[in-house]
Amino acid sequence: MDDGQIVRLYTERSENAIDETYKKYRSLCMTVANNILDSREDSEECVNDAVLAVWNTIPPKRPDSLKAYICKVVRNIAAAKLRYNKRLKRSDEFTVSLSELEEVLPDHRVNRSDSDIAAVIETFLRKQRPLTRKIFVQKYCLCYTQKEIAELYSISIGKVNSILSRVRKKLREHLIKEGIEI
Amino acid sequence: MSGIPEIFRALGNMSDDIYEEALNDLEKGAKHNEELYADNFTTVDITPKNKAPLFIKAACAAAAIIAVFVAVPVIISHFGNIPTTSGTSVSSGTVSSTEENSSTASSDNSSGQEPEKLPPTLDEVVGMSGEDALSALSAFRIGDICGIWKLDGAKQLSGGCGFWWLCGAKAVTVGIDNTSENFSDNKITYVSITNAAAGKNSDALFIDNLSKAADGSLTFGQLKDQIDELDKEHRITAILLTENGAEMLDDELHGKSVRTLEIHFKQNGRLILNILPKEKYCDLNAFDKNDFPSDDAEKTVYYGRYSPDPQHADTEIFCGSRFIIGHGGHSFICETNGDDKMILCGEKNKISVKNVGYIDIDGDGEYEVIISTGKDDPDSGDNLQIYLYKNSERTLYRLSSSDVGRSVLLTDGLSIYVSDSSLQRSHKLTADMFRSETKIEDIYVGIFKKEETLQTAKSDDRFLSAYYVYPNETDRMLSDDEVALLLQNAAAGCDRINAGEDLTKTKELFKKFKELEDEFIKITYPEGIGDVSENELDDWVIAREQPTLFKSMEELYELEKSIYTCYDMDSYEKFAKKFDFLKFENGTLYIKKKMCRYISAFESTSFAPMIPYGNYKWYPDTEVIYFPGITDMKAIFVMQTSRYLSTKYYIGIINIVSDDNGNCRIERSELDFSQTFAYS
Repeated sequence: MDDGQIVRLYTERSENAIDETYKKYRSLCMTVANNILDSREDSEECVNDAVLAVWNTIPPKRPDSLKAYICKVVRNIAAAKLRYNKRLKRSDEFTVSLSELEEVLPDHRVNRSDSDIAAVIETFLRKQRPLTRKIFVQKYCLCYTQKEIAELYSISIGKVNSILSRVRKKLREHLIKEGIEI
Repeated sequence: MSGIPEIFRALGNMSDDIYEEALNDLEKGAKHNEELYADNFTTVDITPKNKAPLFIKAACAAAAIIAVFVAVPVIISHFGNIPTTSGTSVSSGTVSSTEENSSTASSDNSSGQEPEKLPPTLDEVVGMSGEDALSALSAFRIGDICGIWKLDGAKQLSGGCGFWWLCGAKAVTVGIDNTSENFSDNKITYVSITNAAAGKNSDALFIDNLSKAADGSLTFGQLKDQIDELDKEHRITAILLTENGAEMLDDELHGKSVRTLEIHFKQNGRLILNILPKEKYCDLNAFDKNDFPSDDAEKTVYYGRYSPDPQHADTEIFCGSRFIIGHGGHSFICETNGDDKMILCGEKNKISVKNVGYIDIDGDGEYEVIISTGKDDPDSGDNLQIYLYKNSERTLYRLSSSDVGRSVLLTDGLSIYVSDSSLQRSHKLTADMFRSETKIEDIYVGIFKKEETLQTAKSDDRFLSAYYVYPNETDRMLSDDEVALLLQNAAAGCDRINAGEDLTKTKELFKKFKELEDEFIKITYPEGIGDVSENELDDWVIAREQPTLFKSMEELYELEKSIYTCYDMDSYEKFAKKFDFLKFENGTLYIKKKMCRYISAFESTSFAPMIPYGNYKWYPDTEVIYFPGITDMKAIFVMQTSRYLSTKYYIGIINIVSDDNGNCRIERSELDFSQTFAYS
């Protein structure tokens, strides 16, 4: 069943939407959640929360890509769980990722809303090469490891690190240029 | 670093497509950790007790009510536009929110996240684009507003209003002005709330021209409460408001035994209140434009809904437009706007009109009408009058029982086929008429018979099942080429394709459909619903949805007998015989397996007759979803729809059979395959 059909099930409030979502995206969602939470149990809860959130938000939303939509929800819920429950452990990889991101834009320097910052970053990413853009999203949005990304594209981990390092530097420059105080 | 950096959270606001391309590569790589999802997973249970969709809606509605009115801290927060449920714990099959989580979510709001969306007021809805309004309304109360349908301004309330009546829910229908082909550009013109209280067929609230009616102080909730209150006392069948509608519901109504209430607001804002008690209503033989005290009658919209009185409920008529029809069983009004005004009148106890529709034959805005008669005694002479309006000229036609079953030529190019009750909601038009239509939006498929008559059916009728015809023993399946040709002709009649175009495209669509078929059939339902083997047909199973409003067949009949009288089930005995696949034991509803899929139709308003085993499959669609002879499914067709949001085309599936005499019939259902492929 394609995304459009599943979304339609949501809009029709059919409980089959839940099942179809699990069938199609549970593994992907579990992976994304686990990338952040590093816990199977927490990830399962996170994915369940995400599906509920999707149920509660479609309608009115009608995402073009259910996959992207639910993965973002999973990601955000997972991050929220970390934020709210500081007892949860974090993987080293994820901790490093966050550190790298904070180097790009430290919290105390944030002077714009989330959506503003997202728009600026999105604009920046759209100007990057597709591979760079995808690796950035996989690393910093979906929290895959450099190793996983390297395997995915059959490139070395060093190459991934190099790409990420360059894009972080460019992003920092872009944020400054766009008036986001660094 | 102690927390999650703000920039990480901000990344969650980026567009879906940015994520999607990265996810696509990840999916292709399939590098997910198998350990994480190798085991059986726990399906989130979003239903509080029962797992019926109705209760999901109820749960959601309750949650919404709590969230809005009880001010429970927001449990669903947002990362910008992306929802999260950070405060909601969904595990072990339950939904819960802890105080701790709620408080954290609240604090999250304070850090810049958007609060949960509040319901819009009527005023806020007015003037929104169609999609924005629907979105806003959807967010209001999922479940309470259990259906929102796009309405073409010139079209009708679709079947959704009655769709939920057994659950005591309400439905909201939004009308748009239909001034633009782009749905988003259309403006809301009215909102209809169907109050589906127990034991009543349909109580509707129509609010028209909200852009002028809203006074800024009337919220949905206030409006609903007032309607509920009035409804309890007066069994109001319909309330119609046009302009200045916020002045509604005056105390002067109290104490009057009104069966029908009309509130008309003239353009100048003066209130005209018509209370039509049953007695008057039944004596009503004719309405004409002059009967209404307003010269600006084009601003007045009349209504027609069920009467709560079962004896007068058999003229359930939905007709194709804002002129709406029918009430009380024996009288009805049908009216269109402006110079195309059309009024139909029936007389008490003589004939009841089952169907009224209109066709804009020339595509020039003129309205003409076709009707079919009802089941009531048609032997009482010339008792049905049809006023045909064309170019402001009204012509009166009288039909009698002798006209039943034949076509009557009204004027050049317009015939009317008068059907009896066995052809409820079907119209027969001449082939020439069908072909000449240029703005068909609601008609749809026809089958050419020898006499060049097309049988058509309305797509957005809630009694879709009434259209089903069943294969005869002498039927044969048409060849692909025959079907393609039939479809070609029908599509050409709808201006979907050019007449004479080769069949390649049509055949390609058949092929696509056939490829789809397997995919759909593979769907298995979580509760074991699926194909039923022949040996299991008469097995009893507990129905998926347990009704809350009745606990016996007798109660069910009492609740819905007004419907069933339309189907000649005017006694409980007939009803029970017809629904012998249902039974109650100790308050639990059981159903024979052969109907287990369709019993989800407890959400629906009618039960479709059983299709013989072997001729049906289950389909993952909430609408009517089975059709006979699916293994020999031959055709698809296309029509414009007003049923689904953001759906331009409706793909119908028809099964065309032919008998030995060469007559063709259709057996049809509809699925919205617009996401899959479009034929435009």
